[in-house]
Amino acid sequence: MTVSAISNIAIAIGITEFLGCMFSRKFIFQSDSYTRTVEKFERAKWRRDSTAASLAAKQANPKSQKSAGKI
Amino acid sequence: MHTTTILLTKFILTAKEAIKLKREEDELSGLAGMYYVLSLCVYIIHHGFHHIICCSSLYFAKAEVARRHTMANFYPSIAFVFLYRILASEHSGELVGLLPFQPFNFLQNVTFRGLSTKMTAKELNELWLQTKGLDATKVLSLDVSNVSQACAFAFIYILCTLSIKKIVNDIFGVRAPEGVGGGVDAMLDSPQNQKILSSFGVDANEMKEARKAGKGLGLL
Repeated sequence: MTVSAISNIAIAIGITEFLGCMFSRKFIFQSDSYTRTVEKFERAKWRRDSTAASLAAKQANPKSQKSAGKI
Repeated sequence: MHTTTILLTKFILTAKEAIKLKREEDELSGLAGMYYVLSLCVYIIHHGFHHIICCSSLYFAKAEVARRHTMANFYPSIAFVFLYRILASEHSGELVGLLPFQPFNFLQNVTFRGLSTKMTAKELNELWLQTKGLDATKVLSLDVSNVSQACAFAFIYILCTLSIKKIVNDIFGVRAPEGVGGGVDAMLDSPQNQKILSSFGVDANEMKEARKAGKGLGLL
């Protein structure tokens, strides 16, 4: 009785979570809007990283740039 | 001061992203909006215009991805509320298990939920033997020493939720892309939500620091 009750509860929770995962995968994560959003995010991240890298490079050697500007 | 602010505001309006921000700005109260424009101008002067566009678009995208993932977790949680109601009606007042220890007082509210509080250790022993399918008169069980060892459905449900649900989600669930972070955390970083927070009088920078401190302490 106890084993069957516990296994019933465990199976019910497992199946519900599995169905939840499958439905969210089907209706949310495989949709075009989600794919587009992730692509946009990846692009924005790459752009931010490259900008941050260039800013860091500028801050690391400001004197050399100034001297280059004078020449 | 006023003319400089106008000039800087015109400068912001040249970019597409800034136009969007300004439109949303008008919806907010005047003082909070003005404060936001000023802080934005200071940020642009300090970090450069390109940097702010990159950051704002990144935060928008990050918040959007986080929102999708939060929604994907939200809908199954509604299903779990219904599942709890169904299983609780099925197993209410039923002894589901017997703990090998006596739980703390505050934990007993969960482990003993739905069971009769007036039960004695002897009665619980009999009930336990009945649930195991044994004759209480013939078998002398030493399993039960205290009534608090009784385990109701709610405790098993919580344990299953913490273990099985997590394992199934790890196997079949979709993980957020790297850099999105926690759902609500990422959503709070978006410029729109930052403005909403500032309109409520919450300092965004202070909140960021508090969140960082909370993360450091392992609270968030």
